[in-house]
Amino acid sequence: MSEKGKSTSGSIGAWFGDERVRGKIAQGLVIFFLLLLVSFLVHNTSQNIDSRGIKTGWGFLSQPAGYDVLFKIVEFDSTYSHGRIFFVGILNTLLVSAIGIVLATFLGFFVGVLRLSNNWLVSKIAYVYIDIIRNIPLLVQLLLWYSIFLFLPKIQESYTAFSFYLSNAGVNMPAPSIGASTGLMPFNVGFLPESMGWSAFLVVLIAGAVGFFSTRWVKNWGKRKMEATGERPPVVLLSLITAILVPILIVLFFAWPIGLDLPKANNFGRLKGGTTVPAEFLVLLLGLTIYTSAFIAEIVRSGIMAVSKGQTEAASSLGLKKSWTLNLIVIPQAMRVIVPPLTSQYLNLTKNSSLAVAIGYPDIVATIGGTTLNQTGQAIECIAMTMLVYLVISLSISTVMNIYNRRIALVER
Amino acid sequence: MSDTSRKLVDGTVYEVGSHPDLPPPAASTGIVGWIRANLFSSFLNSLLTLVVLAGLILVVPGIYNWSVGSATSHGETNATCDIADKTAFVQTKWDRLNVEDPNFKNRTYKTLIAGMGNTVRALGEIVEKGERLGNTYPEEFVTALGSVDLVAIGAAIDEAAAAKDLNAIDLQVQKLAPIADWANDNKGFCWTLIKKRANYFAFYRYDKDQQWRVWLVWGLLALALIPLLFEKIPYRKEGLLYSLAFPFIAFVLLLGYQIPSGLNFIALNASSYLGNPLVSWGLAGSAIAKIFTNLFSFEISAAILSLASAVYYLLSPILLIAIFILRLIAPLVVGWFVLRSLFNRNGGASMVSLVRFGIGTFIALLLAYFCWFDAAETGGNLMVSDSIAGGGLSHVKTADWGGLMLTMVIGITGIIASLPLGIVLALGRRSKLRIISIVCVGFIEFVRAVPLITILFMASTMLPLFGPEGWNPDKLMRALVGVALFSSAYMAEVIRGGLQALPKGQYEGAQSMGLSYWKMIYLVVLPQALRIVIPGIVNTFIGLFKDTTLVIIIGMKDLLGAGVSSTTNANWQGLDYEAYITVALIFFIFCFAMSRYSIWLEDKLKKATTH
Repeated sequence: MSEKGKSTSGSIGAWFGDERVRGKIAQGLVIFFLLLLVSFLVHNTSQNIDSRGIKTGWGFLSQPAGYDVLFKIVEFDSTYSHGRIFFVGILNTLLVSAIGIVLATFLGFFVGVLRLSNNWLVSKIAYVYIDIIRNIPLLVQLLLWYSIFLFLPKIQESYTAFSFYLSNAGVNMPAPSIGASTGLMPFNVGFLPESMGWSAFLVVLIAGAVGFFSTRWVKNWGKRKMEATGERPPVVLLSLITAILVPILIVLFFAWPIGLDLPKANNFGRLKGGTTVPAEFLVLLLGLTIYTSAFIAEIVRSGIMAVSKGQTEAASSLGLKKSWTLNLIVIPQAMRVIVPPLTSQYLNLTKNSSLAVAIGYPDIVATIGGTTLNQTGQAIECIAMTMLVYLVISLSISTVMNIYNRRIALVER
Repeated sequence: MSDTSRKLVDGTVYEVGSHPDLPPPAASTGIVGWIRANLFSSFLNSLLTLVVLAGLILVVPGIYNWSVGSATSHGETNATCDIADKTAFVQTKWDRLNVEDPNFKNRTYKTLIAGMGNTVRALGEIVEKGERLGNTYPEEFVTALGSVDLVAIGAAIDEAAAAKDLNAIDLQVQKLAPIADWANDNKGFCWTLIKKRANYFAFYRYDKDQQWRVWLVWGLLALALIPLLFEKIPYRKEGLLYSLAFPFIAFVLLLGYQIPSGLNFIALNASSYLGNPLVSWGLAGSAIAKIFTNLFSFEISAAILSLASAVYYLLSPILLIAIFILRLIAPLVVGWFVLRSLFNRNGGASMVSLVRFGIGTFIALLLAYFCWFDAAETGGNLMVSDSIAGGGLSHVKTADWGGLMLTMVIGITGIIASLPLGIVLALGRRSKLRIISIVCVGFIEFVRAVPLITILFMASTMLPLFGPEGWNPDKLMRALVGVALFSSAYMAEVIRGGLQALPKGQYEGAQSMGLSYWKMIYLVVLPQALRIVIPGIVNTFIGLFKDTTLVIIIGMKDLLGAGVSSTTNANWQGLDYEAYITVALIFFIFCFAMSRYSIWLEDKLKKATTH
């Protein structure tokens, strides 16, 4: 045996010199120090909780909240529990984020296309818009929009157009109401109860599903027809019909007679009826939409620029129409570049909706992370719940977008 | 005329091919050509241009008029602006009433007029109160006011409203006409706020006579940025060392320091002995002074002691900073050597290295305990007290920090703290060691999935719970911890981008040279990767700088916080637009400049790599 050559083989030194062993030791050390840190923190926290007399546990979720919120889409008042306000907060966050994402996408694509316009003036205005909006903190913008809103006239003196009332309290507008016949249709086919509840939700869900699947069917049908005959049926138009008109018709069928509950001013200028969208909601929506649209516009611009000019030229040399070139050649390729950063903008918008707390819109942070935390003093539980909600939302959005991204990804052979 | 020449219309004859080049058509060059190509290239384009121009003509004069034309910068408080605003408000209301509801039949009637009466009366009260307090108003206003009694007019409007006598109301509003004219010229942007509150926006409540320290820090910051931003300057390495030390110097300067008692063995006040103001030595000092005066003549000993005390005063803050830095990094340095002994390729051939490792770990932990926990228990403050009897700079409470200065403190601390943390996290994420990468990925993804505000809430409410009992870090410290954790996750992703962008050959080359992992990272990978990601770091910093505004939600007064508290201050109420627009403008200037720098740098890097 060449003992000299491997003088330490089998000894502890060689064992220690092995890279894999040292890797294991390092990982062991990391785990050890992490556990040490965690136990240190847990020890301190439990000690502090004891000495400060802070309550623990999830009991507070079933206790009455004792406060009301100015905006909710499910039933709630101060007699409901903290658990219920958790639900209300989640819904409010989801609502403002979902609408914000849709609006910001439209505005962002619009501004992004303007930015690429060959009209110098339009392109420069889009550029100025993007640069100004991107370089001012969202919170400053929100407070500015909010102060502009607060300077609007009082509700008694609100600006009025077509039963829409704009005042510093928000917008009062007509709301659909079931059973209030407008008198246009003599017959009654609807069977929804007057008080909309889960059944209405179910109807909307069904309508949405039907719209979605019929749109998909139209798309596939169009593709089959094109492959068979070479003609392109007006798929965009048809799918607009199936995506919007069909669901509306379904809802109308189930809920007829459906009427509009109009807000009306009484003698004192107070408004009765209709529905009120509070200023806080509108300001948050406006701020999030504008802020995110500037980022989306930049993403769209760089996405479209990333499609090489040869693609457009090849398309036109094949004799494709300009609109076809855009729809079939440029946009599908640009989307590959656009989607990943777009996803992170959607996530940002959702996370930024937490700034609601600064203007008093009752989202999840303002309710559970704010008022409930202050009332119960149970910081750990409340903040953990808030963070969990955002974790779930973030993970869901990125999962959905990943699936979409995989579908549109370049298939290389 | 031969076959090869042509006669032109103007009679000149040229050989074919010999005609000098004609200039391009006038309509396709110069300004006209540019306008045609960029603004009126097609019918749709022309239409668009005209629409946009019409929009600009509608909007721009209004903006100009509001910010310059009818702006005012008079007075010490919002009084002038307030009066102008309110008067213009009454006028607008009356006009609106006349347009929308000329017969005063509908609901707007009562409330609008009631509001008008109240506003005019309030206006009168503001003016009266202002006059009592000795406020001066612009001359035009005083002339316009003349003998108009606003309170009386307000009451008359109310009366007329009660009697539904519209002519009487109109008569009263007519009386306001001269003031209304003045108001129309002064109802715009209230520059008074910026003129009078600039100091508040910059420093919040930082001691007025200590503000030179903030200016000094800003100057030092500018110096520290030079070696970071520009590559081709002399003494860059030394400059970078200074940039590293800058944050500590800045904190000591901003917070104030007391010459520590340990060093202060002779500094107590007994300057009377030598009658020299520079020498403020203590009892021990006067004893030493006695010895000196016995040895030398009075003048010489005074000179020596003055010099010694001057040196002492100059050196003590530097010494303090050095001790502070040493305390912070000593455990890290020892820990580093311990780890290196563990991971060193050539080491670890015997039992000795294990023993060395054990002893080293022990020393590192001991040092960490003494250097960090001790510091943590005293709240991380460095020997700060309100009295500066022994010398030093007076303590400025962090609760008084605010305005732009606090925004910069939080932003810069966040970015500096996030760099090393981000590097560690990014390396950990790419590590082959499963557990380490899981821990790093978990941290990064968690922090990136939740909003900053929840992390700030966590830092402000839960940090005191995490520490040992009785530990109560101040608000600023909590915010800094939150911001640092938050930005380190984003920084880690930026740096990971740089690590991934580096060609694999660099790693393999370093390994084939026989470099250990840490040497490879330190000598080969990081210098290149960090260079690539500087634009990304600047962009992260822009994001972080904007995000610092969120600290107002946990009750701190950064630039935006100063703006918000201006709007609730009795002297500055009603100037919300002015406050927020000022804040927005300052943020815009900073962020825009940084984004331009980042773009410039990106271009430069692109050029450098394509060559």
